[in-house]
Amino acid sequence: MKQIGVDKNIKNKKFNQDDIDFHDIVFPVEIFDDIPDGFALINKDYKYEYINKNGAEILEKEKKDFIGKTLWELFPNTKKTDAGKRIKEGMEKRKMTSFVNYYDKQKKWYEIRIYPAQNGGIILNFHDVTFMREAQLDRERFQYVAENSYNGLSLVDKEGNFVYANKITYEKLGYKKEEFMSKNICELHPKLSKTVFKKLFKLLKIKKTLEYTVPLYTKRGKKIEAWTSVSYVNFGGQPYMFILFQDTTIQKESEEAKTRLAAIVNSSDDAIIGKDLNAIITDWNIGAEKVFGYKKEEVIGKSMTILPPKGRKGEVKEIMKAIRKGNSIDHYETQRTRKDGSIIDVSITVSPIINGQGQIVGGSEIARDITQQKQYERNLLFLSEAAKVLNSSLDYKETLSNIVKLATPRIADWCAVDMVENGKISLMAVSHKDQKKIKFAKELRKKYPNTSDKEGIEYVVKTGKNWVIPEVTEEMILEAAKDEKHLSLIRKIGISSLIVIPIKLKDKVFGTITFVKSESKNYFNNNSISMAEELASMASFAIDSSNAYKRAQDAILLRDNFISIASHELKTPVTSLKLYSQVIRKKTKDNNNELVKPLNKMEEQIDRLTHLINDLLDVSRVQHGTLTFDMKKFDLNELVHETVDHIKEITEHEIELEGVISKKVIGDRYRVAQVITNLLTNAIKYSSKSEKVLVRLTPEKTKAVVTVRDFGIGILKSDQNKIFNRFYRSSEDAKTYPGLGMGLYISSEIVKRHNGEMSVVSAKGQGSEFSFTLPY
Amino acid sequence: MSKKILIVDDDLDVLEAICFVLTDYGYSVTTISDGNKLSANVSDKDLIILDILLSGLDGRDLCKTLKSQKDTKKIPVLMISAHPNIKKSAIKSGADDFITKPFELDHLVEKVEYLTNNH
Repeated sequence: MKQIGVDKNIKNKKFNQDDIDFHDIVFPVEIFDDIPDGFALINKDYKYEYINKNGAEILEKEKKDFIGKTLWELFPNTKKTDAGKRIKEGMEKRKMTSFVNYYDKQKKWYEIRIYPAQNGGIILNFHDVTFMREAQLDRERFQYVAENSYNGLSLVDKEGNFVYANKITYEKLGYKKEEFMSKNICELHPKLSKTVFKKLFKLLKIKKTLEYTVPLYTKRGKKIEAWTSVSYVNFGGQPYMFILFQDTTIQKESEEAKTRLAAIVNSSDDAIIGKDLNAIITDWNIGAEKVFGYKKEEVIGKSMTILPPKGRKGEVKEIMKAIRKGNSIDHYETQRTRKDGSIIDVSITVSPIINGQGQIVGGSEIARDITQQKQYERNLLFLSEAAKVLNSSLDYKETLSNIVKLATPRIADWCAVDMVENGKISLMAVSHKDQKKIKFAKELRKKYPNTSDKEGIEYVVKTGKNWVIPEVTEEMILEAAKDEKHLSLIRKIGISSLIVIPIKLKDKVFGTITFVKSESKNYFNNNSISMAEELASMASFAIDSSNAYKRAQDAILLRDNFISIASHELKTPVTSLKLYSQVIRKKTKDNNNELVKPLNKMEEQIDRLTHLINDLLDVSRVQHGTLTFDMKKFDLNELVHETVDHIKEITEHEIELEGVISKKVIGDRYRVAQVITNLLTNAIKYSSKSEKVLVRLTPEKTKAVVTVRDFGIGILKSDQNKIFNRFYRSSEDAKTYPGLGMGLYISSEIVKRHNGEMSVVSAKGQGSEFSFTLPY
Repeated sequence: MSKKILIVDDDLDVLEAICFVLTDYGYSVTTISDGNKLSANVSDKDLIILDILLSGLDGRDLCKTLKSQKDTKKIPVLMISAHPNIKKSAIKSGADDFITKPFELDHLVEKVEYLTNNH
């Protein structure tokens, strides 16, 4: 008889109360073979001392195999496993422990309990927990599936209380788990009263499952479009309602979006084209039909290469290359051909189309017809260039001829200008890109002149109104032709669209501009007409200003001649006036009488008069190019000193002189003195409140610089580039200071003629600094 | 005996003024306004004051004629003009000196004195 029992003296023994009584009884060892649990007794050397029948079966060996063998001998792999470690731990620490282990062969889970035994070893008890384990796993699997479902899943009992709700259910409805689980289903929907719920439950008992498409409401009252299915289920004899709902808001929105998108695509004025990776057209909206003139059924299945004009076919390949790389092309401006052969300007935006698996399956191409816009841009560019041409010369005949050339073939295939001279209309210029064709136009005008003033150029000249035929039809041509030869000439020119615009200013018609479209196969529109009108108006201004310029030139010439003659005529009386005044002075000098003072004044005024006349003469000489110079090498240093000394006699300003120029300069000594005198007298004149004028001589490498600086009123920035102009006087200057505005003009002309430069640095109220240079 | 001066100028006012001044200074002055009458009046003169711009005539041409003729080439010529630039061509035509209108009295008298005394 072997005895088996638990060591009662061990510490920490944690048996149930029942166990203790149980273990106090000594059992015959055979009884263990009838117990479904496995039992084994292992001594402290891990040798099996006993194992019951089921224990041996669980471990897949015969009972006799165990006795006298160690655990490690029998199961060498166990040393490394978790089970081995736990057994060792139970042996060493001598306390009760347990763990669960799975046995592959039997496909069973056993809880292995380890008890310290009286013999100093351990008792192993194998208890089958497979059923519990499976149930737990089932629960875990169910929870995982339910919690991760995109659908709302919940279970309520027959009272309407939630017994389960997955995450989606309470989160979609805007609740925390605990809060939701404490709710009754009747609190969640406004139409679901207790009575309705009871009826529903009864109905379900018969129907088993019902489906609804009803909106649900979140805790905050937001509506959720949902599809709901409720089922009757029975768990453990208790009835439950299983609720499944699906949020269809997004689905509904995406369906709506799809419909909207289709409407947008169809109503778009832009061409929207779908194509596969081989550039085969798969979609073609109404916009594309309008832009390109092809019907959908004509192009589906065809290649995109039908659209680009000659020389641009390669673009299709390039675009497909970009699509395959997944790149987009934004607003690429190019040209495409319509079904009727006309060429349009388009702006193209291309994007790859990507399917649900992330693969590029084709491309979408949006083409916007920008012909009008481009034409407008071309017209603007043309007008701005035309304006430059018109402004480039005042000979309007020449400029109008240039404009006619500029207009073809950019604006029209033909362009012509006719001018009215002495009541007769004559062709002044005509242009076509093909020089050979021009003779046809000239021949047509010569041999078949227009006899009626009800149409064409004659009509425009007579009325001052436009003559426009947007589309010249075959019938019109046949009607207009006077004979076979005439018809053939008209055909050679090939008129398809025509505009004649008057060049007029205030009802006076100077002439006409004619634009003709022929081989380019398109027609003039309102844009073209306004552009032509703009050009005609620019031309009329050019003609007018050309005439005005001529009048102005005549007037200037007249004035210059007048100045020249007048100044000469003035000189004679001044000459005799001066002589007489000096005779008087001679006579009165010795007597020292009261005439001396007025006499001085008189001579002063005669000098001023002389000075003005000399300036006028100089101005007129500059204008006539008769200002001559006696160029010699001279000492500028000496000249400046002389001039300064001379000015010192007539001013109270202190004139400070600094710097020395040792090299001699080349120039007309008398004229250079005139410049220095002018700058000094100006400096004094415009700085009446200061006491000082500074003269600085600066020798530079190739030239001498003379600077005259005053501390007076200064010159406004806006006036600074004008002060060297003839007769220019700033508005302020004119009010306060006498003068004719000739001094600086003459001085700067003199300096210019010496190959020098004159400049000014000044600011209002800060005084001025005038400099001029003279080459050595 | 006072020196004899001939003044030729088509502007009567200037002619009169110079005449007045030089007479006042003690010279014996003859004036003509018509350049064509020059040769008839020139013979015994000590100085000729000649305006460059004469109606229909150029003073420089007259000067050249004077200077090219044996009996008149020694008579000094003082040329007057409103143009300072003409000085060069005036001297080239044979004039002994040049003065720009309007001139200072002292300046004129100085030149006249010099020319009448040194020739």
